[in-house]
Amino acid sequence: MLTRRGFLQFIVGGAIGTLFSPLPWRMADELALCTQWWTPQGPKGRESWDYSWCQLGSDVVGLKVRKIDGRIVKLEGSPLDPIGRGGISPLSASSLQLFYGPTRIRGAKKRVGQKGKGKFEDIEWSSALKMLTSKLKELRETGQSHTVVCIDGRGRGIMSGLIRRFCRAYGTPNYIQIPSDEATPLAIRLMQGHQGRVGFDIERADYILSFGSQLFEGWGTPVRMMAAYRCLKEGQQTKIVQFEPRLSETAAKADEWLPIKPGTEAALALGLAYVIIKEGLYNKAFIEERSFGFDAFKDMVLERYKPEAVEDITGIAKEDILRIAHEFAKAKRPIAVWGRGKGDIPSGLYEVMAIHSLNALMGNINRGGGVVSFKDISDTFWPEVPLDEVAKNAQNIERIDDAGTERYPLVTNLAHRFAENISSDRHYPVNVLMIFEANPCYCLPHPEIMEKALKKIPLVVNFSSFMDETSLFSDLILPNHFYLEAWEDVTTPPYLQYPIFGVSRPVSRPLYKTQHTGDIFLKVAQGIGGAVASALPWGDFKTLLKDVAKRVYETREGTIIENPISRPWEIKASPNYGSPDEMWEKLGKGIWFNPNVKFEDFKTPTGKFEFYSKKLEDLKLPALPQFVPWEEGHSEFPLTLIPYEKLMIANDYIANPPYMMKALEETVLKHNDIFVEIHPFTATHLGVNEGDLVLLKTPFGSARVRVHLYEGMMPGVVGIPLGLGHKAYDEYLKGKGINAYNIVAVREEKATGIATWVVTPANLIKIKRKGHETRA
Amino acid sequence: MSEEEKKGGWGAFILGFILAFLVGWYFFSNWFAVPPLYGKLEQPVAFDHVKHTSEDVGCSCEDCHYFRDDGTWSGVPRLEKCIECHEEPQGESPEERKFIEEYVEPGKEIPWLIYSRQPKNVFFSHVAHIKIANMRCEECHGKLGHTRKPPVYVYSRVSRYPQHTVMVMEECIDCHNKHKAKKYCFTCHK
Repeated sequence: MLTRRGFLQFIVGGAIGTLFSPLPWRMADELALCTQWWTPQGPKGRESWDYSWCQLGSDVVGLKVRKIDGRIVKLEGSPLDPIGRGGISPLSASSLQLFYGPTRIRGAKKRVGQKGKGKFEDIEWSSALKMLTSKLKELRETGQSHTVVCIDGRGRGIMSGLIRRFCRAYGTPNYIQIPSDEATPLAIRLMQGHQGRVGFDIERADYILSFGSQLFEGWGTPVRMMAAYRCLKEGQQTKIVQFEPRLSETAAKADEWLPIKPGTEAALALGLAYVIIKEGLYNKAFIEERSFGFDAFKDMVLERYKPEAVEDITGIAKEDILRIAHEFAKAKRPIAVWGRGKGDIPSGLYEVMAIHSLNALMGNINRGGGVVSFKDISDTFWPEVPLDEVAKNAQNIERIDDAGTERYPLVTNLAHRFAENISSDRHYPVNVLMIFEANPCYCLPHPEIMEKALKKIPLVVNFSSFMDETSLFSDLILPNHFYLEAWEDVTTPPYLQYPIFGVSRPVSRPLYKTQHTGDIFLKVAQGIGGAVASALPWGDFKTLLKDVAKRVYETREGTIIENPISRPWEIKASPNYGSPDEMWEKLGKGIWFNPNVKFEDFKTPTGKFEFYSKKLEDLKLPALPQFVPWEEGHSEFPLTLIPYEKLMIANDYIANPPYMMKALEETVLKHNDIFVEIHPFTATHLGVNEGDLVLLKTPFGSARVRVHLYEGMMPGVVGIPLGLGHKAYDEYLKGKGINAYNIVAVREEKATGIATWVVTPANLIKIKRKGHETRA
Repeated sequence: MSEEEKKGGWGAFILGFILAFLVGWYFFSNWFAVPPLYGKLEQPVAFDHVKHTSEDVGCSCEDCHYFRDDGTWSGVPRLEKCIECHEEPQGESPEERKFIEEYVEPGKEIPWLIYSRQPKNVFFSHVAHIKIANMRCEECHGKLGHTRKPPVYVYSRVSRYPQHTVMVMEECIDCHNKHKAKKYCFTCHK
């Protein structure tokens, strides 16, 4: 009989026997293997690679697209991209989250609820297009074609040219670009007589003065500038000097950072010019043979911009001004660059003229390592538009945003005035507004004015792919393809020193019922008929691109990249395409570029570089570069608020994908609270500590923010990041921080009407809470 | 009751030991591979490696298993490779006819059961093991390339991994030690 002792012996024997069997070891391994279910598993299927181009925001990135069974799973930088040379920007890398994300609009939609409430119903594409076409036709027939407005947020390339051409042929002067850098093309037009592209040959410069440009945080093309930094530091040891009120990442990467009072860059540039002129360090050959108005410029600078005076204005020590001017003048290829932040925080005309004068003093224009000007295919492609009576009459009608009018004759866009004029019924009513790749209800100062304006417009048509702030105020949404699904042109991005042309082909079938906006414009033009149809005869956007490629072929210049090139701006390009078809074929993978492009000569009235602009003189405007303060002092608001930008925050039509939101530091955004940066001295003065909740007040509004103490911020200045505080999109973005555009001050340059929001008077008031004063 | 009887001797202990030992080996060793822990499956197509590499057919291993230009490993060929020869039956084999009816004609990929499927938390690079470490295929895959009929696919019903070739980290490390290969975390882990 089994005794208790026997039973125990049996159990112990069994336990030991088990240890001599595979059971425990096998089960331990099984347990380890089971844990691998938690590892994210890549999709199974057939791998393939394709080539594409991402042009979201300021990006122009050649991509290698990894697909599994035709589904895109990863984007990598393409080594065949001469701009980024294999690099990829954070926005491009994470753009798949936008592609597959929940805020994509899945088909044509029509508003059913109140504007701004976001209630829409699905509508067939055919009826949506019919509705738009018949409305446009009706307005044209009743002499109201000028009441149609197009807002273009891309502002470059063939697609923008197509919309502009549509407006011209249809008969409306109201083609508006946002965001728009008005000052750069205008300054170049006035000083050089050039209308086309302006490039900075950063890679070959040996001394760079950056006037507030966040060169390595999104200025120009992010991938280009990252690659350029490597090149500048590995090879020629270029010195980079950054003038900026805040120690940005660019300032941290620069060789020297000189904190400057916000908005005083023009004074500094003229102060540097003073030293260069006074000591005769300028390029005498250039000044004597190729410039006009130097004497007037010299007299003005020597009289008004002595280093002592400039020190008072800018806060930069006189000794530093002298030293930097000497270094700049001694360099072989010095360059002065402008464009605040990523280049989209506007500068005034006179400020750009002042900075560009430095380049002219050194004669560093249209040569290696300097500022170059040339024509891009998107400037030269378009044939003359055949205008009928309606279109001709429209040329005499003033624009709704006052640009090009008697009051502001120089500028082509004044987007900030558009919303104001509509909401205050200043001109004629607008009947139709078409918006392409723009989110004016978010990324223009004081978006509430734009919301009010959109409520007044009977038909707002938005081509957005996303349910963004502007989509909520639209009547009809005709979603565009995402870039991975569409035929797109790739043309020269801002500030690149040579022209490019490429074709980005669809690498995925459309996920939803979307249509290419280019095709829509072409279809609508055909629907309207007459001169509009003959101005836009292309059947679809792909056919148009083929025509453009053919025109590029006919130049018999440049080359199509077939192998990675490390220094593309240095090569001697020769055509490697024998026929238009061959070129089209090769453009599927590589890109056409022409580093040996012919630079545009000075085409000013004097045929020279004009320090003193004859055109401005004719218009009875100040003709010389000058410093005009943007903001007067304000006793109630003792601080100055400046917006700043970050590479990790997309700040235009495209909003941040979740990956980028997750990469933000906790000193920028924590939970839903945004941080403003102030210097510890300022904090002591205000009696606030790190993480304190404060009320940020400006004359235009207030917002609850938290404080981050940062020694890299000038005392008395408050820095706020642009690009947060969305009211639309998904849980990763909506309600995260505040939108800085809500509270910034819009200041207009008197002569041109160009607006900037670079400085805003502000104050910080500590918010006291019961119990816990702060959460941080 | 004597003291000896009280102790009960070693009988119960030995019985417990032997029973547990046998149960452990029979049910948990993948040699026997019996339920409930293990399951067995047949491959969907009875592929004959020997036939394909014979002189009659004349395929080489590299015709189907090769490194692509970018260094990635092609793995098991897809249906399109089979179709190159088997769009029409090449012989009288009923297995081939079945294969054509079930997969070639409907254009359906063959759901091969991969004997060497490993946990996904590691990168396994064939090119590193074959071209750099000069290992032979047989060191990991045994005589699979010389079989007339695919071996039975034995898998665990718990972890769902195949049992004869799945590795745990200890086995990877043993081999890396043996070949003096790098053992940084990110050499293998994602």
